[in-house]
Amino acid sequence: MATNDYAILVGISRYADPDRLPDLKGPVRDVELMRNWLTSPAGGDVPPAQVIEIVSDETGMTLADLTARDDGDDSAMPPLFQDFFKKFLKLISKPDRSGYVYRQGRLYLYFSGHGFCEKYRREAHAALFVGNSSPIENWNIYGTYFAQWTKDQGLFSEIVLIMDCCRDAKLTQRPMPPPLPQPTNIGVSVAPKLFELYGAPRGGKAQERAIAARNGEVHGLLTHAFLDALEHAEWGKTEVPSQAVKNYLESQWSILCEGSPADPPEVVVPTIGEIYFQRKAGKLKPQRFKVKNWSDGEKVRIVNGQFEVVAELILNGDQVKVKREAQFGGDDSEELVIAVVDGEFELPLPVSLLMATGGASIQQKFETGGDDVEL
Amino acid sequence: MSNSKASVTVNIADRQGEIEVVDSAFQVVANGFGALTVDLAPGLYKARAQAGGGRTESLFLVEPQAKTLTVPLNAIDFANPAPVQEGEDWTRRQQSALFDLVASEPEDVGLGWDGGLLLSLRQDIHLDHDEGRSADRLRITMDRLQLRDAMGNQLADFRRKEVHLPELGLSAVNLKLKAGYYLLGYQDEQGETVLTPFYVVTGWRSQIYFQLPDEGPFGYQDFSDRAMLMTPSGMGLPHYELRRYLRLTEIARYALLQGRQAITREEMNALLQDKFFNPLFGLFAAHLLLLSPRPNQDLLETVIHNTAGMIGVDNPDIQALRLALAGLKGESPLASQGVSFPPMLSASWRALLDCPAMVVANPVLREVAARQVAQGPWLAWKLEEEVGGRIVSRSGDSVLSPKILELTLNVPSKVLEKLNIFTKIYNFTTLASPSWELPDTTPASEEDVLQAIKDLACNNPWNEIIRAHKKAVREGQGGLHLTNLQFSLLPMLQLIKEQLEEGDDFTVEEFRLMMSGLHVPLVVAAEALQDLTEKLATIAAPSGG
Repeated sequence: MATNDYAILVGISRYADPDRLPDLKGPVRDVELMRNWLTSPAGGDVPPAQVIEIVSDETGMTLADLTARDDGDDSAMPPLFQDFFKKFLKLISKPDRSGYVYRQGRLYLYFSGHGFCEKYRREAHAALFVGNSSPIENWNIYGTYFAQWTKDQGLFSEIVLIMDCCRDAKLTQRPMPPPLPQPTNIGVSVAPKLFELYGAPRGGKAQERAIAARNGEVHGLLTHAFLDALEHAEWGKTEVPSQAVKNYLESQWSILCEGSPADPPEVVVPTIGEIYFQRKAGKLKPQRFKVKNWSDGEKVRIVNGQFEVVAELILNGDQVKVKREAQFGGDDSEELVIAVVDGEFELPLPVSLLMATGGASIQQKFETGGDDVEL
Repeated sequence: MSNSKASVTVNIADRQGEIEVVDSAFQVVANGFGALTVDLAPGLYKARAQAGGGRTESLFLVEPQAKTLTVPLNAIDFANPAPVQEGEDWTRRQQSALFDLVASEPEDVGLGWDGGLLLSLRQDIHLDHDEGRSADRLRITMDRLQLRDAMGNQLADFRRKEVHLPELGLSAVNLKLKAGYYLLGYQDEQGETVLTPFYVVTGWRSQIYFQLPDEGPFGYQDFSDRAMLMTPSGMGLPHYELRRYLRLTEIARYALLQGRQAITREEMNALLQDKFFNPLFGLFAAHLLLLSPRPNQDLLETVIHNTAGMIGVDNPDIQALRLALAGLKGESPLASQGVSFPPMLSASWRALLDCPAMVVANPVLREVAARQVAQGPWLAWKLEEEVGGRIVSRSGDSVLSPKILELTLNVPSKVLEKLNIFTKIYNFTTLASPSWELPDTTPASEEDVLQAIKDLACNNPWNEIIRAHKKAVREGQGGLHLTNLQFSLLPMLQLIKEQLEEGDDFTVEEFRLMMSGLHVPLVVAAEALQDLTEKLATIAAPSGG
């Protein structure tokens, strides 16, 4: 178990200013998805007590309740900046507040909701609007600042920052630097590694949508894509380095968008070294094939980028017999039979650039999970 | 089987875009611009390219026996306020009509004749095109565009000979105009106006292209996302050349928007060579050069010099670039009368802010400093208030209730004193000052400013003020009239107050870190705080009783 790892997950779906910041369906579910992965032994393996959640209460107080109160104060729409700040300070401080706790572990800072970035800053950054943010009170959590500050203080050896929010380039709002002291231990920040994932490029829009691959549930695209990368990138390996996550997201993004394009995420890998995400095993991703020129009994091979055979397929009437290579370079292979329905079938394959070859007429290049492949 | 590498060339049809080649594990194995050649081992690869926000990609196979391979990529489609794509019939007709207008002689509407202005507003036409509705949208949007002189006076005649072609989704004006600085404005449905500067130079015509969104009203975003060119008056450009200019403009503009030098050597060369037919290319090229990690100072100097030769050495964008170059060289800014009109590019404005002394205090520049808005690379700001067609500063009255007024202020005069001393050296708040003058006052120390801020934070009932402000806004009575920076400072002041009330100190280190996190010069933040203090003081004791 990753006993030195911690996480603060923030999901904000309700705002006191719904005209400017309309309700969202994804953030609370995104936090649940992240928490499930973080606490799973096959995922982050973080002790559940070390995963702190700060989310909108979607069943509790509404904006109407707030505005109906005697004081008419609609500025208390939770979660507030202070909710996060106090939990952050508690996590990093000694109980008597005499100093900070230094941990050889990983800190996950996860934010989902409406966000923005500062127009003039070129380096990747974003801030999340909190529940009581309004045009006059620009309350927000400057996620990048907290991650960078934690790194500069050397409080954790690894920091993973995920900001599944828009990065509208705002001149009218500024990310809010919190009252934290300047790091004094110069040099310590060289060692910690920071991996940053933003839901959109600077000035871009992050999106939430119903995602077919997650049973039609609404999620932030980045959250879905990040977890998808941890499951599918680097098939055959039990750990996924941060660079592989970045490569996966850049290549698979349009596929992960499921046919409706969205601004791509911005991913910043650690300047030195890698952050590794452990897992039990990589998963295969379904690829849809359409039978067109493929003759009965004819063998089609699916090969990878090094021309190694990943799977052999033989069409047999309304079935496809599949012999698929096992993971981890073993000698074992598995055989299965897949039904062809209306001339189509689906075969789970490693996520990669692949090619189907067979007979004289079949040579189709494809990226797993992408467009249908005609055989 | 041979495993020798093949020489693979990937090229985009129009050579415009950023290319990456990734292997089957999605590792980037080569990158370049427009076209690239790389030796690749046999295997599967993907070539992907992007430009101006558009993307394209193609999978390709390097066979074991291959010696060479060419991977062509289509020209990348991306949204453009000017009609540069040639797709459906209506796009060709729209483009042709507009380009013919560009080639035609500008109309004389009595606003001078040294240079010219072409203003184009277009929209896409869909199959379910409702011509009446389309005409209305074009008309309403064009009516809301304003042309103002450098002082902010509206020039109503500029639309006198408007060309209106709703069947082609096009509306435009093409007029002769006196050389000088101008403001282009757009007033939205709520009556708020956003302004953006541009200039007309003798012998040149400024061209500005807007695109209406498919749905909804034309907004600030669309206003900021305009395309611009400057071409020599009286010199016709072939359509393909105009199209190339507009496309290159958009790629450069997108690179500036992204804040990256995402532009090829060839594209940079094109910008540099073609700037003699479009000086804006010179401005783009110079700012893109500044984005490189080690800008080529000699080249930058030449670009600035040549561009200044066309649009003038006193041009605010040129002055900003000269300032940036001086900064690169570690030199002091050259002696100058200062900049009295805002530059067109927000990157230029940023360069000027690095040396506030260059900015001559006047109402227009104060408006820019306090009320800048924009998403694009162009400088733009919201007009605060105008009376009789002139921009004026807003008075400091308040609509907050007497009860709140009682609560509101007990700001010690020393707060204002300290902030005043701190900001006075920059002479940024003196409207009447014609140019920057050397400071003759010793600035307050950072600790003094910190104490003043702590006083400001602790002595105000923020919740009550904000609640009253919101109520006033809801009831249409206006509010505190704070600037964007001041809105950002409000939560910070509340946090400082909370921290102090909990018995913790607020240190100079924390103060410094907060200011650096805000990414505004300390003097700007101090001025914003000073102004905030003054506004709150006005609440406590309104001058009008």
